[in-house]
Amino acid sequence: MLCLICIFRFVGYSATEADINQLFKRADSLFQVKQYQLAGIGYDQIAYLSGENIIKTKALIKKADCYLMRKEFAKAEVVLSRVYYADLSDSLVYLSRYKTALASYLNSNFGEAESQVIQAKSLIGDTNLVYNIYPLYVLILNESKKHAEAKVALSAYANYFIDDTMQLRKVQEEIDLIYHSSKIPFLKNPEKAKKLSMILPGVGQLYAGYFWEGALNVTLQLAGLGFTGLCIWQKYYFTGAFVGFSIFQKFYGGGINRAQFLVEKRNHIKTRTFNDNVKKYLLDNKALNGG
Amino acid sequence: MGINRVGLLLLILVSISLSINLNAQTPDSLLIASDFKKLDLAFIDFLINNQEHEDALLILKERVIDKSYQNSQLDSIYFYTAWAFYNLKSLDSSIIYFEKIKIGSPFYIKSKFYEHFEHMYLKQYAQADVKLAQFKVDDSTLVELKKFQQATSALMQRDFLKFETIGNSFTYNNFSSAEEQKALYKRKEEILKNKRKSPLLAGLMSAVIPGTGKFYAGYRGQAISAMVPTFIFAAAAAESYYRAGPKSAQFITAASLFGIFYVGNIWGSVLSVKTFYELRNNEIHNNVMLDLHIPLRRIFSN
Repeated sequence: MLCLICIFRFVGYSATEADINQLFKRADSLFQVKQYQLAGIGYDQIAYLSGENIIKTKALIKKADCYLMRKEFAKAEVVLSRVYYADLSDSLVYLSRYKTALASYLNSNFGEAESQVIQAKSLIGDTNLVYNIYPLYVLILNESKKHAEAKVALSAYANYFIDDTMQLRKVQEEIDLIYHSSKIPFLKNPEKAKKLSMILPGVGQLYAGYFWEGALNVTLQLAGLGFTGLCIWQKYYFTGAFVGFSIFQKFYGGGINRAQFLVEKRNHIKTRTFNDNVKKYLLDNKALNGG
Repeated sequence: MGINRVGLLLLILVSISLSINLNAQTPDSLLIASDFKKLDLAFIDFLINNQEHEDALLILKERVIDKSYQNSQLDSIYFYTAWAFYNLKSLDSSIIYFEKIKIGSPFYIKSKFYEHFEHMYLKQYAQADVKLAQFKVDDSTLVELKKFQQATSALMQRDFLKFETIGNSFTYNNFSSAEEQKALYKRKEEILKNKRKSPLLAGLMSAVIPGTGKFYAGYRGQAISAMVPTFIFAAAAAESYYRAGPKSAQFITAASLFGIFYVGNIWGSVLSVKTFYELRNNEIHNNVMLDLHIPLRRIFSN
């Protein structure tokens, strides 16, 4: 470990192009052997020593890769925020915006991820590069529940990269099928579930799609009310009014909160299933992957 | 003889150039090109300014035990190590390295003030007091800051006499700390208001009227939620006693539940006195530390 750090003993050294290349080689080799923190320091050293914005940007992108490999997505975002975009080539702007969007996407910061893609689309002149970012854009839009826009982006991507008409038609049909209105997750309203359970106990759970939970909740509430009635019938007025009613009230209030939770859980499962299917399709489809 | 000497010289030169060439082929050539014993502190500074504290610490780790550096270099290494730990909120480790910085270092003044701050943040007031007493400053801004730190320490230890003595010497004419010096008196009022209450009284109050002990402790909202179930089970137990007698299952069940809630409520009230006092104390401590931190940032611009 210590000898690996030695490379970073660099003193007031004016780095030449050869030195920078050597430092890149060294940091790359550390990256290859999964010494991501040391590699990251190496890339930062290049960013520090080089006077050229292009080299700094390349180093910062590689440093962000180190954080991505360590699953420290927020830190990757911070590193990429240091990129200064003036005078950069289209390919570097693309790479930097793409990595930033990826880091933000992985960090569940979907608004920022989408913003990076939009900036890449408007600032990069090279159409080929712009379309390369589309698969990620589709995933981001799906997470933001912008399914119509995601479908348009995926179709545009297929149109751009698939030359064979028959193959394109097949992929287009598959995209239509994936984004068919019946497949797009219909998200239910948690507030509505709460209100339904307030008016009629158990109906909120039924709305969320959990029939038996709704039935159990109704049964327990009825048990509370039954206990109240039984107590009053047996002339245990206080016990009926307080204990029985407390049991009913606890299950009534709990049922309302549970209905809201169940709708949120259902929405999450539906969204995850749909988004994971699209992700799998993008990764597995040979025509879309150029193979 | 002359030819031999030239030959020897050539041999040495060839050996040197060969060794340089060999080194140039290895990835460590830059290691050889650079000066081993010096350290690029500007790069460490660069890492720290870019929030890469863990990376800075990794580089500094072997430097802090290397005694071959000059004193000034060691002070810089200690400062950057302490500063990286401070930013990572490892205050104990930070203090260890701030302590090592010697008088005369350009980092000395800043490191001492931050060291005192860290001690107070960790509630190690005695250590802060000792170090503050030994710490000498001449500059009027720093004198005010030192008095501010001393007064804060006295206040947090509830030594109001010492606090007033130091507070009376505040000049309030230094923008870096004047507002926070004034705010310290408001914090004193807050501390005085947060009186330590009697757990015994809280327990007794809850024994007489369930829930009132929690109200007395400061948890006003919890008082009702503690009171209601206790009364419900009390009413149910009384009714069962009246209707079915003391040996009935209804009475035994309701009375047992009442007993659990009643005793639990008393015990909860006793504990809540301490927890509420500590909760409020921690709030005050955090506010005081925030006030203490602002002048440090103003004066040392970080």
